[in-house]
Amino acid sequence: MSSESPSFLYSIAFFVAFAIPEALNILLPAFGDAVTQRRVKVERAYPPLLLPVIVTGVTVEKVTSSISPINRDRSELPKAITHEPPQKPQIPIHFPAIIDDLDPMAKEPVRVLVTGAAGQIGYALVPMIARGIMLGADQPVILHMLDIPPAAEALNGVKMELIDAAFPLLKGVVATTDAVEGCTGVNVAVMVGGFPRKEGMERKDVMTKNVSIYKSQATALEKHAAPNCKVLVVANPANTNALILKEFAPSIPEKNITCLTRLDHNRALGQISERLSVPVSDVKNVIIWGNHSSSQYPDVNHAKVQTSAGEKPVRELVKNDEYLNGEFITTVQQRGAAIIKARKLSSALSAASSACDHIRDWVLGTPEGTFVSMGVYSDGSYDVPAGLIYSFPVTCRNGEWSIVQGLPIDEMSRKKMDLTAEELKEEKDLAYSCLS
Amino acid sequence: MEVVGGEVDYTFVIQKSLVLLLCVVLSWKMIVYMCNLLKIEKEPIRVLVTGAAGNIGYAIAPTIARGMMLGQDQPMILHLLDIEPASKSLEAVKMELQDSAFPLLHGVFATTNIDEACKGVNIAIMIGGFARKEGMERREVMSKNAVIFKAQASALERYASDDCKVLVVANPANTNALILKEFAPSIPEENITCLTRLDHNRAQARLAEKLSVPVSSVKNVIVWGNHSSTQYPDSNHATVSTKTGDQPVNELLVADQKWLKNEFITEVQQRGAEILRARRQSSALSAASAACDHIHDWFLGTPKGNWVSMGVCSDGSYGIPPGLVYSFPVICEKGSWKIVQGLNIDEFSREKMDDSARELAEEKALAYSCLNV
Repeated sequence: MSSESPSFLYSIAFFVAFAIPEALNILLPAFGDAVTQRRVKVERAYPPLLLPVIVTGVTVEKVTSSISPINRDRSELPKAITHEPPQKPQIPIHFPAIIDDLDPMAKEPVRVLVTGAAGQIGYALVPMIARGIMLGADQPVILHMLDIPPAAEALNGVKMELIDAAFPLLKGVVATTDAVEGCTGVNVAVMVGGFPRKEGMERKDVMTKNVSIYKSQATALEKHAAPNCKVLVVANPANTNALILKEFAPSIPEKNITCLTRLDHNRALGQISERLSVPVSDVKNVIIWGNHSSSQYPDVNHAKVQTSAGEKPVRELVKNDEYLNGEFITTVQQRGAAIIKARKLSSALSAASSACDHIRDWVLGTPEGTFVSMGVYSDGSYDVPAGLIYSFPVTCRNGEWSIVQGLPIDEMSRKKMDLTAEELKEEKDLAYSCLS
Repeated sequence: MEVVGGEVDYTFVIQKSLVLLLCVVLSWKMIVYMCNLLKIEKEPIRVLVTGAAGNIGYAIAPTIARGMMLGQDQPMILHLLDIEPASKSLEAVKMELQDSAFPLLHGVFATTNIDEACKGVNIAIMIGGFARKEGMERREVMSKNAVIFKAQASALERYASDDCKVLVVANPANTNALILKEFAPSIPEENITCLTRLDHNRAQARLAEKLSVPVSSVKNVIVWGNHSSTQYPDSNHATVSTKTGDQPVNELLVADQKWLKNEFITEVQQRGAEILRARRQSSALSAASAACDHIHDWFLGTPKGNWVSMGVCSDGSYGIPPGLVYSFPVICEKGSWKIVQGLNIDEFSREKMDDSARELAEEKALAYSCLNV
């Protein structure tokens, strides 16, 4: 569609500029000499007519291409480094990776790191990346999979399976237990690996273990990742792990470190679509504020549903504020626990899918008029204290996110947003105390 | 334009008309573009996945829901089936699919009732079966699976849509598909297939590794026969796309003929066991991906000049006895497959193909004896 729109508009230009006068030229003589004068005037008007028409055509094309959901600006996709700077070790790629594809139009492969790749979220995530769900169906990828030494065999098994699946977009797989090798040259890093909470563990214990993991990964990323590497932290406590990563990798721009709250965002969309019995693609602009924990605040005050009569606010269609302020919020907050109860395992499928959505919208841009939830470094918007990784509504363009400003916040929302900010501040203090 | 004595110069009129025609033709693009904006969405296709609470089901569900299997413009409704003991896990899979907010997924229906699950399905992926446990006799596994697939055959026959396409994944895949075919006579036999695409992809990847080329430039490997250790991965007609055109693999690996006839074959045959050893679990990721590829190519067609391997009902091609579900090289077009005819079969290949056919005939006899047919 995007390649057709310029030619369609130029064809409008042709049509207007040439066809109409030509048609007049054929028809007018039939009306006799009386209109000959007008015909001559029309012919003389050709050149001046052409220019404004072409200008209009170009303007209309720019406008329509920004509206079209298919035409996303890919110019800001991170570019893969095809050779390492001298002081970095030459990384052997364990799968024959031929960068010089036969197709001259093929893009440079992007390197994607997945930590904790031998686990179940990793197992669900890597085929999605290899199929082009995360970065687009025309973007080749090289997967870097990192995990801890006890999981080395299982990691190798995953690598074998990726090779067996003969994915055309997968140009190479690096499976390693060495953080340096894993991080070298990566353009996108999805940090799924972390220390999960076990029965009887104190919050402080989980925090200590995760803090030390993310501190060391921060150093590895900072030293070896490609410039402008985009980082997504999935492992819980996601917001605080991302904060630790940011604190110990000061040369990674803080706008490049985010945490996953898209899962909760998608869950909220799913709940609304179930409630209203509408397709989930018609629901948009829910917001998840705050911490990816049970204190998160799913906000539908700005959410809309596409109906046959245009976009309507969700509150208007659901007509049940009690539900939206009560059960809906608790369902979304506790969905993770509900899935664990039913599966006896945490939600890998939806987490992996949401991680793909998060990165894809970040890199390729959000559709016009839609915003999504991302856990990003707070700049003080909406009176959320700066210096926390807090989930905000964002739009993405040209590979950058920006917080949607100016949304009215009512009292109930204010309270909930402050509550989750409090919890994040406590987690931050706890994490820092674990480090010292 | 010259007006000569009040009369119109006709050649000039013709010229101008041609220009007008050209502009109308160019404007056709405008009309087409506007029609695209008004495009009507396709009707959702119903896809049944049995054994959906298991590992392969968990891996395949998001690939289907993302449009990887049926195309980015094809919405679908998923029917998930599993046995009663797995009903909680099944419910959780349904919850997760809802939580992922897939735009193409227009509904999820999770049930433990086979009849309900088969209602109106257009595509059925039969992953659920009885897995072989330690110390089980072959006969036992066969008889349990034969019973399961006989029941599923009647449900599919009665409730699935007329054009339902069936892919059997659960092992023994070929024989399970055969049982399904025998007990669902009203389902056209060309709509019942079994998965050998996994072995095909593995063979393709193995050759790509050996030749150090991207996997997508190797094509036209064939996997003949049974999806078991008697499968025969055949590289005799495989080619590699290079800058100078398609080169046969045999030429490129002329010094490695021994490897092609020995290690290559055994590596592909035993890859499943290798992965089981490394992961302590069987290969769900690659099996799900292969199932997705199988249906995708069947539904949307194979690329020009490429063929793929599918386990299909034999029609006697290549000397394989009819009445077996045997893996052949096929091309797919407009929703149906056709066996690639006229390929040269050398003596070595002939022997291997016949071995596999013999094993399939034995399995068939065993299955029938279990069912007392």
